[in-house]
Amino acid sequence: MSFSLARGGSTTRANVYAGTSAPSAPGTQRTTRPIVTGTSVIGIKYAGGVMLAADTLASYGGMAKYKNAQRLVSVNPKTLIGGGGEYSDFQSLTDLLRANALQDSCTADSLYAEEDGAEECAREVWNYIRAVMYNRRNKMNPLWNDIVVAGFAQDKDGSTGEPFLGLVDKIGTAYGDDMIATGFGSYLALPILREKYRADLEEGEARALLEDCMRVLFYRDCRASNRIQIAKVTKEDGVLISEPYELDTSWDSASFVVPKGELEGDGGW
Amino acid sequence: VTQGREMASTHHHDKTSQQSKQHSTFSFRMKANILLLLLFFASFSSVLSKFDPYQINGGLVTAIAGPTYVIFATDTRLTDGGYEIKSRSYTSSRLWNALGESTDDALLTDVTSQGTFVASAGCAADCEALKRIVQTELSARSFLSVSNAATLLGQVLYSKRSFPFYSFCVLGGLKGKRGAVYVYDAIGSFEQVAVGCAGTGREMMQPVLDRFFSSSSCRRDGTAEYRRDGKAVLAEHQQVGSVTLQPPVQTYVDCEVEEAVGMVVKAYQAVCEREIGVGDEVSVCVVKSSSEGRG
Repeated sequence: MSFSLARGGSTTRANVYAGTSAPSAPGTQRTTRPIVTGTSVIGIKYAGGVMLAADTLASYGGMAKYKNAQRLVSVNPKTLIGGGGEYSDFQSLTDLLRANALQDSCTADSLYAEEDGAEECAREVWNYIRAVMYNRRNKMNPLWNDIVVAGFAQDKDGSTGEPFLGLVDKIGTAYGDDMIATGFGSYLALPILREKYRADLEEGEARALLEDCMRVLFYRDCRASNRIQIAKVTKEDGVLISEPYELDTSWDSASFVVPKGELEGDGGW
Repeated sequence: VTQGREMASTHHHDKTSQQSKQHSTFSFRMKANILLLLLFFASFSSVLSKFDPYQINGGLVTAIAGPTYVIFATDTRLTDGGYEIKSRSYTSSRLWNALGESTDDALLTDVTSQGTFVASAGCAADCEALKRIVQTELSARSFLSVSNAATLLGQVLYSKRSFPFYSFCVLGGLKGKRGAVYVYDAIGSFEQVAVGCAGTGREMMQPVLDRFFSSSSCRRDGTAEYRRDGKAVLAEHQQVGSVTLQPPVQTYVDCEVEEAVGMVVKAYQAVCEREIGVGDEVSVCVVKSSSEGRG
């Protein structure tokens, strides 16, 4: 920013991104901040496959605007993705992935979907999403999402391999792990998931664990709701996404009855 | 903000034309006030949150060049730059085979005695993209030596000088029988060293490594002799054009492999105590001139 007294105090136009060249063509726009957002998505591997959970709320800033937003979506019969962050970007990414899946199935060698390996496995989808997100980040116009990818990896001979759970964030950071959480969930739910995870978790146990985490998120995340969906990917059945349902909550625990911030107490410290 | 500036300057023009007969100090004060107003508006552009294409994901990578081996080490913690640990077992873009395929198994399956490995830390998204670009470049050519690969990595990094890969690397491999290690900054400056590290906590790691691997700590009588390669030139003899530029410093350490690995792990334990971006597990890879092993 240079101030010129000679020109009567007007400044030169400063480019905010001084080091990066990102010229916008007239009429195009770039993402500057998310408007309609989904909050956490959490996921865990269990004995039979991978399970994800997310609530069905899309917030408009502080307003709980869309209460039935589907944030867990199947990309193809083998791969499930969940998205937090800007909901329109998530929809656009889902459209892209579904178009790819349709193209794959239409150009496959076999008419029967089960026979060939044309469907992308979760690991492929995860890698592809990484490339998409990184590309958009390089243009300084990101898809403002944290995407969780769940399914199975594919062995070299095309058979279904190990369960796969991975995350891609809006700048293209991609990693896989046994338990994943985005947004607020990474602070509140991930420690619980890390504590309780075992490689031989039963489906019921995994579901109960995810529901507990979603309950904690509803208690403490302002942008969460108790109307959730659970989805799982298994070798036999592929992707199954539940209908939304409401978690029952309990508000009579001591720290809700007498909030920690009360002056009479120790203030929570 | 732009509109504010234009409005302010228009306002200023009106004022000066009206006040053209006023005393000069008064109009100067008007200009100063306008400047302050513009400065106030301008400061908002940095206060409003904007998209940051970088994230410092932590990680500390190390490479040691030995007489018949190269050791690579990395921690496996992936952070969000703050207090969140995204993963405790991240190795994908931390340690990779420069000639391998783009999978996590490349380290285990594609290892040969001629392997050139790169360990990189910084922004994991950039490190992953860098890994893919370098692997593509190197696999498209017939076998390249370590020094060729080192120059190529420097060139790839510099090619993004205007929007850098936030990726701090160490590269290493066997040059004949001896290990060779190069250390980089994010825009492609590199040099050959005996012990090199990069990433979060480098300031804590490098002095520890320098001390652990200095010749004086290997000698019992406490005297220090600066080890030199056969081609090394004393600083006082270096003149422009007189000799080819070789580093006049130690380019390999004087240790057995097991001792060296032990010291590297000890150094990591020291850094992990005080650096939050480094921790969880340490992954060590050893490239030996006759056979390979992964720790």
